[in-house]
Amino acid sequence: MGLNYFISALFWLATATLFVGLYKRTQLWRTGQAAEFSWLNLLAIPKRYFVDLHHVVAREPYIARTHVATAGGAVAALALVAVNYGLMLYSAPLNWAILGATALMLIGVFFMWLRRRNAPARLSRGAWSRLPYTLAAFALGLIIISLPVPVISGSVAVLALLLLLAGSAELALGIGLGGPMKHAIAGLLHLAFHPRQTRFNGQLSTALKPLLLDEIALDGITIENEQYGVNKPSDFKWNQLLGFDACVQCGKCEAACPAFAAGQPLNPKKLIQDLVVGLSNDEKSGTTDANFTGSPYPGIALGEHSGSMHSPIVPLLIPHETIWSCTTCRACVQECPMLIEHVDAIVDMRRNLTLTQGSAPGKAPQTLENLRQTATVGGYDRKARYHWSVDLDVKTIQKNQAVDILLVAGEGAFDMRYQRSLRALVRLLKAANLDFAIMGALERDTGDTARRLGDEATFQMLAKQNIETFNGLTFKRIVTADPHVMHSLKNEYPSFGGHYQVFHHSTLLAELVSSGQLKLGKSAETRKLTYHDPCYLGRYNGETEAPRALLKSIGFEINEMERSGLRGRCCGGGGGAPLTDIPGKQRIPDIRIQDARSIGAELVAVACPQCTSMLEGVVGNRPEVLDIAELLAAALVADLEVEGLELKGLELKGLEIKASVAHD
Amino acid sequence: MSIKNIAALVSVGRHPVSGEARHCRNDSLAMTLGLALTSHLNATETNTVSFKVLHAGNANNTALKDYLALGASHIDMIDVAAESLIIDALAANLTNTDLILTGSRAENGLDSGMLPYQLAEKLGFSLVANALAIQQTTDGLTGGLEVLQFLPKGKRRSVTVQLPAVIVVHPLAPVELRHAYARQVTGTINQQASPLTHATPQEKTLKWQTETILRKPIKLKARENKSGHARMLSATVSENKGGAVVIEGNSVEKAQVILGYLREHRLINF
Repeated sequence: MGLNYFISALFWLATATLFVGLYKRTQLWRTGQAAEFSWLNLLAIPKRYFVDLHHVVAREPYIARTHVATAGGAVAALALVAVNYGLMLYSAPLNWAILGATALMLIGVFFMWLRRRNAPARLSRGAWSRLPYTLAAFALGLIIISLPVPVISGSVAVLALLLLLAGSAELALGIGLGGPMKHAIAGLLHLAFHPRQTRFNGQLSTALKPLLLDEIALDGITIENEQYGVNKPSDFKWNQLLGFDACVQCGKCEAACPAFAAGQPLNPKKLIQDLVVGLSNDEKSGTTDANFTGSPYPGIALGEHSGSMHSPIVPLLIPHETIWSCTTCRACVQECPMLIEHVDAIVDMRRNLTLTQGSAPGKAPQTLENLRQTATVGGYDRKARYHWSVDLDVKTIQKNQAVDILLVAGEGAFDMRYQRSLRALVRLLKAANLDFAIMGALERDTGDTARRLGDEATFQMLAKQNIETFNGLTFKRIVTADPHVMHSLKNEYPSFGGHYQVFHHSTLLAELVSSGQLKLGKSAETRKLTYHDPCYLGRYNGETEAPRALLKSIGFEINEMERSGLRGRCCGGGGGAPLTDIPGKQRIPDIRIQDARSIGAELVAVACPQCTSMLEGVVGNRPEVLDIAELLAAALVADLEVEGLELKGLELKGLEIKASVAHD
Repeated sequence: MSIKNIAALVSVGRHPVSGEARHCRNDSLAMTLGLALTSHLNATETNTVSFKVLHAGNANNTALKDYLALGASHIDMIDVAAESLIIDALAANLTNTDLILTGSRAENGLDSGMLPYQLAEKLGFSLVANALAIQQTTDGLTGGLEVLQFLPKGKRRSVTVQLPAVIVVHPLAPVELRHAYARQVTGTINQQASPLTHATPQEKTLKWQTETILRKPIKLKARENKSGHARMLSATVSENKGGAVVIEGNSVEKAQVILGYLREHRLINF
């Protein structure tokens, strides 16, 4: 029958078109830098799709079901068409199967269309709004030809062919021309060749990859420093470029981004789409971002930026301020159903700006200079870091003295506010009879801020110096109250040969409480409490339970804010964002405190010095911000005698001193 | 006479808190001004202007690489045996230079701030101190430079200077320093022996004695929590300064009063 041959021809034509398109796109990806990969990972795609990717998509059940119906139906129908028409079998039972699969697809498409009618602002329009119609055309065409009718009239056959042609064009041309259906193929390949393979082994993979500075110095003397991070789209690894192409423009990153919410000129979705715009070899005219149909960077008009594979990204394609607005909170990465790594791309571009031009804005250059010259963020005297502990009778670690726990205070130790939290922590450690020591003048900054600001050279210098110091000391574990310190030491120092057991104070204290080594009473606090998850503790290190367990153990009920746990909203303090200080419409911590206010919380428990200072910086009537250690220390049982204050030399015998625990 | 050769003199600085050797910030400002002037002149003039960065002192100091990161593509390093030879060594190297840029004073060493003056005297150059910005005079014929000078209390003064000249840059010059690691890797330091290492007829060996500074005791002062009106009154009307003399009671009661005072003014927190 003539119609069947037409369909077979159309099927093979579409398949050929798809492969030509895929080849063209592959050539663009291959312009990127070499990356380690294994072809065997192609076999892992089904598991990664159904487990890892679906795990993210299923957070929004409506769209998850819609996608299962649409994509599942489409894939099944295409496979059956390949057998029945591709191999020219034309069997009636297979036609029935095609009919079933296509009907499922059509149902999915219907619900997709339904949602598109009231699309949330984070979705892109343009070609993406067209998608329900072209997919419906494809499904209807297939339904017509697979109907169990002996003869179809000529006009219906022509209609079916036209519908199929429109639908096939969407499916087959997508990858070559960069249409919406590009996501299907790029997305699956991205799952196989993802730059962070350990994500799929059920592990967190949050450490940045080191820049091999010594190797660059050897080959890069004459070249204009192009290997320092990413200057042009072609400087990305090929699998990063592939990842950008996987984007479905669902805008979940945009909805999660604290900088976007604060009106700073960053939108992670637009950033990825800008990099897709850069995937073009059209050197002369360049491609502009005018065709982007989602929300632009707040305050920056569309159509003014353009780029191509070999032209600098900043500021031609992406504005300078956009790169420096990111707090590296990883909320976008957490939300991305296509598992794209936005933060890695941003840090790659920051590395180039910082290492080759030194153009980080605001207070960032001063901070980086402080780190180079004093090994502290604020330019302080390292010897002054532990002044707050002078009356607490704490050991300072010595070269030949073994301790169980090394307490690393971090930069917060110079901040008079955070010293209160640290003092509370020391009292808790003492109450639990732990063998611990502070680092004293030996402590240098871990370089976390430098690394997030792209200054890999300063970070590596500090990392090497710290590792050398640690190697000369004898301790079993490191405990810190600063999740940023924890992230550097635990996740990033191993690349430089420093392997340590690092614990956040909340994890350690939760262990002590559950084992009964630390005895706590019930808190006298009656105010309504909420807990704010630090990004570097939650998303970067997966610890969301210990702080909650601790608060519950002293009798608090935790009222969760709008976003909490692994999806917690950033305080605005990470990634050097308070230093680059890109202006927006409001401040990120104000948004977070508003979250707390809107559930009526009067107390915000925190577990990070950055969060403490950002949230305390909110003006006006706001809930009190207290570190978990402070709340716990106030509930210490054996603690009405005065700790650490023996009033030596004052000779005030018989004098009654009322110890006020809350003010220590 | 048009500008052909510009030189910036850089020294090794010292971080005021950590004591780490680093670039001298003021010299970096001078160097960055020189780089900007050179690239401006090279973009507008027909003849090419050369720019060199010069350091005289200890060859082993690693802090010089900071200047590479801050934009010097190349540093000429004169190895000088004694500090008193620095002026002579620099002067011998700078005879053909039209414009010399320096900071106001070094961050360590003898730190007298006299170097630019002694150098200008030795070379017979004019000198402009406290420069904030430099540009070519608008009528190109005179071949001089227009220098914006710092004066206290926000005042500024524009002066014109004939070349050759030494221009001393003020620490508050509005220059943005950009530290880029890649430049530090690609830049080079060229070491040259000083021609004057043994010829030292006029060497004056100064006998300096270093000693640690003694920190003076600071008197703890209670913070006044008075309203603006009350402070205005206390400034205009003479009144009793407050306080109390406690003679009665035993030592514990007296101590309690002192503790009470200290707590009230938050000098102790227990």
